[in-house]
Amino acid sequence: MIEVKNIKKIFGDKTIIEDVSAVMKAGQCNLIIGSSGSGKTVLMKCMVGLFEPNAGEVLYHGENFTAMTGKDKTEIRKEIGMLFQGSALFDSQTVEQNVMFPLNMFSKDSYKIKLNRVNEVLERVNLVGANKKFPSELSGGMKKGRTGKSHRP
Amino acid sequence: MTIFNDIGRYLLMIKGMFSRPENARMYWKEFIHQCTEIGFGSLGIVAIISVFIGAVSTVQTAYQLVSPLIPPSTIAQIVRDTVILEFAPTLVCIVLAGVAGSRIASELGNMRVSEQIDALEIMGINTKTYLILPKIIAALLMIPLLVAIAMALGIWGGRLAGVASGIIPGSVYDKGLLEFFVPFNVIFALIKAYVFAFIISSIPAFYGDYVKGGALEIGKASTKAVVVSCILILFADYILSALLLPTA
Repeated sequence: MIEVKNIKKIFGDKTIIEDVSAVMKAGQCNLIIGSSGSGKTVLMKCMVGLFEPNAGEVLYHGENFTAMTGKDKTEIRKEIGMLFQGSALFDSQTVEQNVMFPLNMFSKDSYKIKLNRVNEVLERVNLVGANKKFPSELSGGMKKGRTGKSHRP
Repeated sequence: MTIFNDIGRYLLMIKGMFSRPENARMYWKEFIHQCTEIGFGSLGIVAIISVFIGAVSTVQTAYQLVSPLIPPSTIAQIVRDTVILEFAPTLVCIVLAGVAGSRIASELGNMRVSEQIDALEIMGINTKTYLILPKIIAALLMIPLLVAIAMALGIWGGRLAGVASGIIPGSVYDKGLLEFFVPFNVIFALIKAYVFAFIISSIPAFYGDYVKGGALEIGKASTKAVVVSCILILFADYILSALLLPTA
């Protein structure tokens, strides 16, 4: 369960979000809806620790994420997957290398096992055979399909 | 106040680099990649510049030594010492600040703007350790090597120009190179190369990592990184010379 309590984020002299609270229970699909520029992305980035909130706290399973040290945050982040607005794919790497990156970094599996996992994922997002393509060769939708960043692609 | 803010963020960046790698093999791969980019990627321009620096030094030294009382071998001594003490480390590193420094700043800037760095952080990777540390270590290894190559090529370029234009016979040049040689000059040049390598890699990494905005800001950050690196190289050059070179 993720709890957001009275989050406030200020950039310069502009308050982007103020006193935002929410409870996101496990197994539920939660939506954050708001007009353009209302701070949805800022809230998301505060929740995953990419931004430091000026006030308030974020709790993961009751533990205060905002007060955690870098190492503890890293452990929590290993459980998070995030789809970025701008794709966030590594331009100089192929689709296969992009998908395989977290596996190379965090698992000790053989190349064959990792490749099977990559192909499985690509099949799920209708990108079969796109292994050797570069992000610049993919359409916007195809990039989004591949973009979700997590330890278990 | 901005300058203190920048210095503080720079020091935090340096501090943030030192953490345990998630996967040593991936870090090693990145380090080798950076060695190739910084070292071999700049070798061509360094070679061309070094040969011409040496050649021009020989011609200009000969032009200024008009007294018949000064032996021609002095030209070789002057070329050797200016190339080793100043041209090879300082001039080559200023060029490298442009070549390697702008590449580091724009690469990291582009990764920051396109949220690639955020994506790495979400995966639990310390981006400062994974992206910046291998660049700095690669620079500390490759730039002194490039400077050593520049010394040799500069002195050889001087000989080439001297012989080709009839200023000095090859044998006299070679004899002059061995006269009054001070080995400490080479050590001093390598000390400078290490200091400059740190500047060339860490300053552009700082400007690239903290860039905000879009393509225009990446360009600005890249330019600022090169300008600041060049100024710091010249400043460090003066400080090191004043501290390490004994003057009468």
